[in-house]
Amino acid sequence: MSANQVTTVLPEQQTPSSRTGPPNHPAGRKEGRRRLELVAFLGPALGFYLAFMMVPLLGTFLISFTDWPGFSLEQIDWVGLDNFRELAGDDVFWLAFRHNLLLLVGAIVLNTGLALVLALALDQHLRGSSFFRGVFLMPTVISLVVVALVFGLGLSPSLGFINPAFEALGLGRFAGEWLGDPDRVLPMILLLDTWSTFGLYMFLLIARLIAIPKELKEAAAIDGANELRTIWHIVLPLLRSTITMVMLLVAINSLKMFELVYVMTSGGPNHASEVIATWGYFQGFTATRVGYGSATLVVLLVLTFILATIYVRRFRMQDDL
Amino acid sequence: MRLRASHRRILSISTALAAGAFLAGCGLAGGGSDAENDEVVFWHAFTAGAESGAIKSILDDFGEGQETYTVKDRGIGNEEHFTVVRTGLAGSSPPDLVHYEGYQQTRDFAEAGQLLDLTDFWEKHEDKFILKESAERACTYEGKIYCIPYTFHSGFQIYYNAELLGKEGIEPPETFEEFTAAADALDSAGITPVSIGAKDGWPAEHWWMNFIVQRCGVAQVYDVIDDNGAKFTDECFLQAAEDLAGLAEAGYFPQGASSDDYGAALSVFASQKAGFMQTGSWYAAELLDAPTDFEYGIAPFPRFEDAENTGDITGAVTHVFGISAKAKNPDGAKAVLDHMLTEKSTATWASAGLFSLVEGAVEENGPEEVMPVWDAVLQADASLPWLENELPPGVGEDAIYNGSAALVAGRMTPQEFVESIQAALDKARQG
Repeated sequence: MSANQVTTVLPEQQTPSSRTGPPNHPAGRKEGRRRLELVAFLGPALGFYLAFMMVPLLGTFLISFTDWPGFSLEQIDWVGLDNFRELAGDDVFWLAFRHNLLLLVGAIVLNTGLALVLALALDQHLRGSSFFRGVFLMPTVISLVVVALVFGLGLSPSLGFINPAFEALGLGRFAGEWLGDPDRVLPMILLLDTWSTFGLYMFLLIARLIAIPKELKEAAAIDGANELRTIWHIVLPLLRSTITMVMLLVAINSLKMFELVYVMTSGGPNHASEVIATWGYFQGFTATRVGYGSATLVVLLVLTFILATIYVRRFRMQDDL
Repeated sequence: MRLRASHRRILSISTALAAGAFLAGCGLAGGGSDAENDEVVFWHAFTAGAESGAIKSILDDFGEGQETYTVKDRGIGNEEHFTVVRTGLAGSSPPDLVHYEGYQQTRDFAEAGQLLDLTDFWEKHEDKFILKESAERACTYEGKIYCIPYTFHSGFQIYYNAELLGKEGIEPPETFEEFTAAADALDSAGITPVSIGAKDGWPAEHWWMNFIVQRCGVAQVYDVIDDNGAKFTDECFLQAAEDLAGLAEAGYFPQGASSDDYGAALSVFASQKAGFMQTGSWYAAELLDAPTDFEYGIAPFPRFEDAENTGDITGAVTHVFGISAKAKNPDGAKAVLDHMLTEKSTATWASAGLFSLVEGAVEENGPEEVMPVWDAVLQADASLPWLENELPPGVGEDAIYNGSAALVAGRMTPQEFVESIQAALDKARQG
C-alpha cells in the first residue's frame, strides 16, 4: 500500500488491542461471544476434517515406514525407507505411474477442451441451451461405481450393447475387446472418466462466461470483430484463470482415479490399466502388505498435494490481486 | 536411517496409534456381541443361492432348538469377504464366529493371535469327518487346529449344455481329446465352445490347475510350494500352460474371455450361447437352486489320454469356521458349531448340493445331479487346493491371476507365464 493512500479502518480491521476491552466491558463480551460463535460454526467441520482426513492421512504416512500385514498391532515392524526403496524398483508401480500420467494429460486435454467448447456453444443462448446444460451435467451426479458397472457390462464383447451397436452402424471392424485389449483399455477409461466429469467443469466455465460484461462483446462487435475473433481476443483471455482452475481440478481428480479402474478392470488385463491407487489398494488389502500399500499411496498423496498447492497458491494470489 | 531413541519411541507410539485407529475404524464396520452373553455374532459369505438358503435354515433350527443363544448373522459379498473379515478380526469388535477359506488365511489369522485354538473341539468331532488330511491342512497352524472345516468344493468337472451338444450329435466328452473334438464341432456350428470370464483371474487359473494336476500331479505342486527342489518353470507346468494357451489359440474361448467376469461367463452359459463351462462344484448347488430352462450335465473334467497323473483332482476345503480370540461369546460360538455338525444340519447342507465334510452327509442326502462329482472327489488320490490359498498373494493373486488371464487372451506366451510366476515366488521368498 502506498503512503499516500487513505486508509479507512473498519471495525473488522481494528487491531486486537483496540477491539478488546476489559472482560466486563461490552466490547469484551461481544468479542467473547464472537469467538464462541466461531468455535460453534467451525468446530464441527474442523473436528470432522481432523478426524476423517488429517488423522488417516497422518496414519497412512506413518504406516508407510513399516512392514505391517495389517492383522495385529504386534506385527508392526519399523523399516524406515525400505518400502520407498522397494517402490523405486517395482515395475508395476512405475507402469501404474505412467498410466496415471497418461490419464492426467489425456483428461486435461479432453475434459478441458470438451467443457470449454460446450460452454462457449451453450453461452450463445441457442434454442435448447438450458436443456443441454442439464443433459451434460447429468453424468456428474451418477456414482462412478454405477457408471463403471453399466459401461463394464455394455462394453462386454459377450453380453454388451456397444459391439452390436457398432455392427448395426456398419462399423463392425471397430468392434472387439474394449476392456480386455491392453491398447484400448486406457483410452476407454479416459473416455468414460471424461464423460462422467466434464459437465461439472463445463458449468464452472459457464458461470464465468455469464459474468463477462456484455459491453465488452458489444464493443468488439462495433469494432468489427466477428464471433470467433471476439472469443479469441475477449472471451478466452477473460476465461484464462477459470480454465487454469479447471485444468488443475481435472489433474487432481485424474490422479485420484480409482473407482472406474477398480470396478471395470481391477487394473487388468495384466496391469494394462493399473493406476497408483489400485496398486496401493491391492498391496494393502489383497496382498496384506499395508505398509507397502501405504507407501504407494503416499506417493500419490505427494503428487496430489503438489497440484493442490499450486491450485491454492494460484487462486489465493488471484484473490489478493 | 538413524534416529534418536526418544524420536524412535515417539514414532513407534504414533505409528501404533495410527494402526490402532486403522483397525478400530475397520472394526466399527460391525461385529461385537452385545454385553448380554446370549448373542452370537456370525459373519459369513453365504449371501445368495443354495448356500444362503441352507445356512438360514440351519440357524433357524438352532434358534428353535434352544433358548440360551441367539445368532446375529451377517452375510458379506464374496469379493469383499476376506477384506471385511481381516479388518473385522483385527478390530476392537470382532465377530464371535467367522467363516473364511482356510489354508493361508488360517495361518495369517492364527499367527496374529486372532483365532481361538480349537484343537480340543476338533478332537471331540474329528471322527465324524472324511478327507481328514485336507481338512486339517486348511485349519492347522504350528500343530494346532484353529478352525472347523465344513465344505469341500471340487474344481475338477465341466458343465455342459446337453441340448446344444445333443443337437450337434456330440456325446459328453470323457477324454481331453474328445473334448477338443466336441469343441471343434460346436465351433463349426457357430456356437461358442467354452464360456469363460477371466477378468478376475481365477477362472482361467482353475483351467490351468486342472491341467497341472494331470501333467505334474499334486505332489510336485507341493514340492514347488514347499521349495523342495521343484519350480513352476519345470516342464510339466509349462506343458499345462501350453495346454491352456492351445485352447485359446484354437478359438474355443469367446471374445471377451479376459475382460468378462465370472458372472458374465455364467450368463453366457445360462443363455445357451456356449456348450461348456468349467467352474467349481458350488455351481451345481446354484443350478439346483435356480435351474436353467435347458437340460444341462456335469461331467468329470476330461483327462488327457497320455496324462501321467490320472488320480489327482483340483478342489479344496473352501468353507471353514473359526472363533475370534477376542470373541465375547466363545461358548455361544461353539454351541453354534456343535449344531452345525449335527446330522440334521449337515443333511440340510448336503441336500442343497453342497459337499459337507461330515461322513455320510452327501452320500445320504446329496441330490443325484452332484453325486458323480462327489464320487470323483472320494475316489481321487489327492486334491490340489486353489493355488492362491497356498501361495503369497503376490504370486497367486497377482502373477497367476493376471498371467492366466493373459494366457487365455493370447497376450502372454506359456514360457513367459511360468517364468513370471516363478519370479514372483522367488521375490516373495526373498521378502
